[in-house]
Amino acid sequence: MPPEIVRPADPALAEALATIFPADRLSATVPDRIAYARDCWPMGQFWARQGVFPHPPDAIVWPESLGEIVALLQLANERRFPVIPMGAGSGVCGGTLAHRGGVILDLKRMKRVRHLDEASLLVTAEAGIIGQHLEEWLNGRGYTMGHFPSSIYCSTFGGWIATRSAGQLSTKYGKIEDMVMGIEGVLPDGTVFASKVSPRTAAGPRLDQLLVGSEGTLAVITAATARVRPLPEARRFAGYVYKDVPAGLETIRKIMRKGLDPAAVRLYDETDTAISLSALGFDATGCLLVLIFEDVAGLCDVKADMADGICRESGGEALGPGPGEHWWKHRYDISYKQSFIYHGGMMVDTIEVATTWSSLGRLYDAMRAAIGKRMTCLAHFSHVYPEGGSIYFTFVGPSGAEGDIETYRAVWNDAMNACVKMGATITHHHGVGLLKAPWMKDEHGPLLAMYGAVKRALDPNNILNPGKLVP
Amino acid sequence: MSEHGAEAALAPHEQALELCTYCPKMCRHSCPVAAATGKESATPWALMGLANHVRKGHLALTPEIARAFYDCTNCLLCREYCLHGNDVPSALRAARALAVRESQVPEAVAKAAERFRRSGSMFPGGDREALAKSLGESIDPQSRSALLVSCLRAGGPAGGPEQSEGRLQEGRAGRQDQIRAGEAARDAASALARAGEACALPETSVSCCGAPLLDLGFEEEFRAHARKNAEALSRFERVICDTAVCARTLEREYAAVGVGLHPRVEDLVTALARAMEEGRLRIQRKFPQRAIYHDPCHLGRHAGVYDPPRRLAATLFEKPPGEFPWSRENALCCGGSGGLAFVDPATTARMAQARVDQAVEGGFEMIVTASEECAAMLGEVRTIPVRTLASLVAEATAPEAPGAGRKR
Repeated sequence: MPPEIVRPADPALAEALATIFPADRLSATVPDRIAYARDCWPMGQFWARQGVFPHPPDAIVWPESLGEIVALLQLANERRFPVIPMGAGSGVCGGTLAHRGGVILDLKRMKRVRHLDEASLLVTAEAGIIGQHLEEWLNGRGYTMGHFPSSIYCSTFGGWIATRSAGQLSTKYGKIEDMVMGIEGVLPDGTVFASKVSPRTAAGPRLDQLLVGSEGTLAVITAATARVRPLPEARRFAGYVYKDVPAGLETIRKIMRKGLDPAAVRLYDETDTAISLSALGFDATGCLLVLIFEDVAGLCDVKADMADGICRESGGEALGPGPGEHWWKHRYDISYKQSFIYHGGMMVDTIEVATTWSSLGRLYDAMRAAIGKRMTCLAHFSHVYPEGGSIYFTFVGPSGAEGDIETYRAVWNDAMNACVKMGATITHHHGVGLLKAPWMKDEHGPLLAMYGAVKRALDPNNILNPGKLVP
Repeated sequence: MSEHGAEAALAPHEQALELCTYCPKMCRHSCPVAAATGKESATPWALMGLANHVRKGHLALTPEIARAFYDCTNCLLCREYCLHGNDVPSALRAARALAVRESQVPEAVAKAAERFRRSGSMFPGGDREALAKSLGESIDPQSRSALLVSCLRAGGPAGGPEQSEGRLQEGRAGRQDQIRAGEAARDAASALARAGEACALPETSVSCCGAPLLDLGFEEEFRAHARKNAEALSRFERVICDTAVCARTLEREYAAVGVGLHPRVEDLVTALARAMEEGRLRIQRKFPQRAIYHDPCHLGRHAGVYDPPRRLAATLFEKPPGEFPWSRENALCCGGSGGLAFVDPATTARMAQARVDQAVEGGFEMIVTASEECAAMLGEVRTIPVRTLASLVAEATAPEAPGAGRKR
């Protein structure tokens, strides 16, 4: 008989919650608590492998109304228990773990699309709708949000906002903070708010933007209004090989400087290229660059043709549309490979950082060296801007003598310290959670006090997702 | 419980259990149970992870844990989004069977199984002799083909929480259900008779294919039930099922538990579609409604039958039925199969509601489907009419059609 490894839930808490939530939307059962004891942070993979459940919540609730959330937060303030707002748990930084116990507030029963304002190109939807469902709903009406995180199958609209997410076509459509035009939610004291929807304002700082990336620590996001765009009329793919990373990066910089507005730009380093191109049947060395343009028909060709000229002039060997088409068709497939790696006793994780063009090459070299001390490291550059871009490192390898968790933490320490030393941001789009909280002081310096002051003012009892973002 | 027993029982599914455990939930959006409940704990990721912990001895199997294994309707939609091709329903069925062997089933499951034992069906109440009499010349007792009318129609697995709970847990068939059972049988029998394929009604013992037993995890009892049915059907050359679940159960699950079935198995809709294409059915009138076609999971993903019912439907309406946003390989489950309805009828009712809502939002006036089970489930929502293709064929080919607005 295995030992009782799931600590008992607090019966008094469940009893109090039952005054707010009906039995079918409140649970403290072992299967439910185990399911919510991990998200997609690799630490959860290690726990699953070891058969331990260090952070089960005491209970999970599934609200269907603002009123229930208000009542829950009032109860939490009264009884001082943590409340962790949650979308679909696809985060890779432990942002929704109940590491101090408490109640998971799962928003997926609030999932209606409330309104599509076609004249204003705006959609208003509740926070709990799964991203793919929202995108399909829009597609059926001739629109797209243009937001395609690789977690789109298993993440929510509200989760995107709470974690400040970016999608694979962010270079054209922007990141979630560019898309969100208004937020409805509940403050930690139970106050309901809905920010004004306007294309711009000069009425002081846009306060609702403070919630974009707040990871459930400042408010419960219950709905939002976001920008949509008509579905593109045309899409063009192109692929090129460059002799090395600097040559590829220089090409991208020129394309962005021209304002050619690609939807996706992906430059793979030599290791990643070897894997990507071999999967395509190409036999080439160097660095693969994939470009995707989508737009109204005539404009799409103009932009793609101009970019093609830049790519060739910069020494790129043109591969045709094949690599881009392959990536488009299989753009979510990489996520499935995780299963084999963890099943095989290995580990894999990704680190996404960003900096300016002036520093990008040096950041790549420094972090690759830091990560490569312990792990096989591959990288690609994507989410680019006229000013710079992000680097997406993937590391994979065995745990070795140190063991899973110790090795994993050592790789992250090395990588984050190298990133901080280079003056780059520690995360481009995965967020902070528990994983990167130790480096938030390095990231923000004295300005971090602003966040602390806001948090204390809004949430004096520290009930909303305590310990996340800032330790 | 025996930890070794768990390891052995789930060993055939080890790879799938492991790969699901470590997957970043790539099928999350496709699971209709997870969508209806909003629960991460109802996702294939969580359910397979839970079963994997039991397999590895990390968790002791309890009725509370076993209850989670029933959060699956065997719709197989998750597999459409699984590059590993994992068969989640089969693994969860093995976990349910383990719970049965270890006497750890939840109370609702134990009660449902007891009900089945009492009457040989989850939905007793049908009177075979009365039915045979009412079908008159539409049946041919000498035929080598048997028509298997789903017992689900006699009890109905669907409905709002209040309505369903009583029926599902107490096994009572309402008067309305019995009327529908008769209608379904008459529709099927008359449509087949007009196609020149009048069937016999099999003996009373063939009251249920046994799928509920298998879904609930009672493998041994299912095997015994299958043997009994196979014997009763042995004189036939063909058995036609009006429900996709029954067809798949007879065709595949009997063989999987080592029970040979002499007659070949055919779906009613496949038989009718063939008859229509061969010109053996004469359409007297076409339906004017704007209809939408719902793919039954057991006909679609389980058997790969997508086009024949659509071709048949196209002949019956003035305009071919439309498509759901999620259709064919991606069709959403109505909630009717897989055993969840016996444990959590409120969730399966929400699944049906979600499907019907999509049809209503699309401006459709009628849902058409190819399985009595789906029709029962979706029909209980009572928002727009839900018709089976068999009932439409029966009405469209009747010499004097009574009108397309018949309520179901």
